[in-house]
Amino acid sequence: MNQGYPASIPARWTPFWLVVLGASPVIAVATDLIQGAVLGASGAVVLILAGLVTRLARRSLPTGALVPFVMITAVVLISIIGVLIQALDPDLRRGLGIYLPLQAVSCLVMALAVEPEIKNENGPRIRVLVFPAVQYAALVCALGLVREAFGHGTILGWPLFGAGFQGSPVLFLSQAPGGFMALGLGAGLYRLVRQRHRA
Amino acid sequence: MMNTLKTVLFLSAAAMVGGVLIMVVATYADSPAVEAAALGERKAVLPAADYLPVIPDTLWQAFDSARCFRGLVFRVSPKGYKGAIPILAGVDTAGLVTGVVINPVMLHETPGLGGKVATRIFLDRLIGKPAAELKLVKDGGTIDAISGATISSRAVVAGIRAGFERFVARMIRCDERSAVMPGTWNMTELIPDTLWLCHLGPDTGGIVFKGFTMGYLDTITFMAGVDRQGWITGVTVLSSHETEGIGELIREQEFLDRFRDTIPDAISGATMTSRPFIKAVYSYRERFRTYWSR
Repeated sequence: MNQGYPASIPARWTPFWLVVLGASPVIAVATDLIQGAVLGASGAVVLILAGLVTRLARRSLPTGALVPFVMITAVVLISIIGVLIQALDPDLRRGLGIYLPLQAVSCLVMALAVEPEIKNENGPRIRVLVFPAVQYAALVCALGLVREAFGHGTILGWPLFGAGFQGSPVLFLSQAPGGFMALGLGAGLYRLVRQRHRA
Repeated sequence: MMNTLKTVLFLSAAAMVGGVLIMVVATYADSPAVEAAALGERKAVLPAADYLPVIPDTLWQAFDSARCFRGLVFRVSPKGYKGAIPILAGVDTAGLVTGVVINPVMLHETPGLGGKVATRIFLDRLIGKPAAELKLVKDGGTIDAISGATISSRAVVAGIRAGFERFVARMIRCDERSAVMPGTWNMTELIPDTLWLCHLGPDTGGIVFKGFTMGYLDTITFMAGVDRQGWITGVTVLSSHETEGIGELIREQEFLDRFRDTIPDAISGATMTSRPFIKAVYSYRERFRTYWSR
């Protein structure tokens, strides 16, 4: 059981591509800070809890049942969160639509990052279980912030460019495909900065 | 083979446990908060004590605490520039707009342009205007459109106007009769100035009657509603000349409301007034039994 996962496995950042892949199901609706924050936070909570539950159940898991089990756990947890959001703020729940339960897919992708830790027999390292979730939440949240600021020209509904400003600074960012463009632009910018840094 | 079976059984069990968990949470977290939020929205467009659903999630009749009709609250979703605009509007008995709410989360209009129809800046322009005559200035009306967002503004204005025209038949005449039989918009007079038959729906409705009895000092005139099951839906005192602060307590809404649940006890200290009054309400109900029980 233990082979291949030494205790010294570093708690490094989850690869950016994996986080982006994980976030892609929800990118369409993360158009403002609140939606981004709710999506990011719920996804992170589900990811962490699913990891912990799977870890607790790892000894009784039959061979090959780990990934489906993570999926079932994630689906159950995200459904519960959906029910709770529906009860607390029905408008928000309606706005998130199908994309909230779709986060189960995000969790499945992100489970790739925590899978080694779930199987790690040398004791759980909460940090490794939590890191990918935090990265995921930060990415979706930042995406919501950037898209609200430049797509709508507001932050949390407050006008950013003065009350007299009409229209939208970068309209396509507020539309569904704009999320991917924002991500692409962000990734490009990151690369550029890193190249400059190295040179 | 054994392992496959084990996996299948394990995962099925896990899914089942998960399903039960969701169900438990859903049972506890469901409707009250949702209903409260929806109620808050209705209160925002037309403040009232009670909203009687006429068409589920679309049309409500608003009643104040004295069970008097206050106006209509309705939901319409006219097509805007990019999609349906979710509007909740309130109209009072005079046909004037009392409030409009557009849920920004559900709005697909262009942010900063058409999206502004959901802001108070625009919606406040509609308040107090006759709903049947809502029109943009451009179309010969009185409402200023949001500059650069005529299509979205027109959709909102026309949507409310169309909704009002569609639902205006559900307005209720506000008098004592609707106060004792909430939700009535159609009554047939069976005995002049004494007995009315109310139509609420195919299986609901009842009668409203006017009656009188001798109180302690003078005649008490009252009106009461009885539904098809014989339940008293409301009682109101039309005229009485009893002792101030004692016999006149029968006019208290709190006392009158008790008729809806049970046969009320006489008011202590005002037995001579309240006892004949309570007796009279029930004897009138019996007298008109053939009308409400058929």
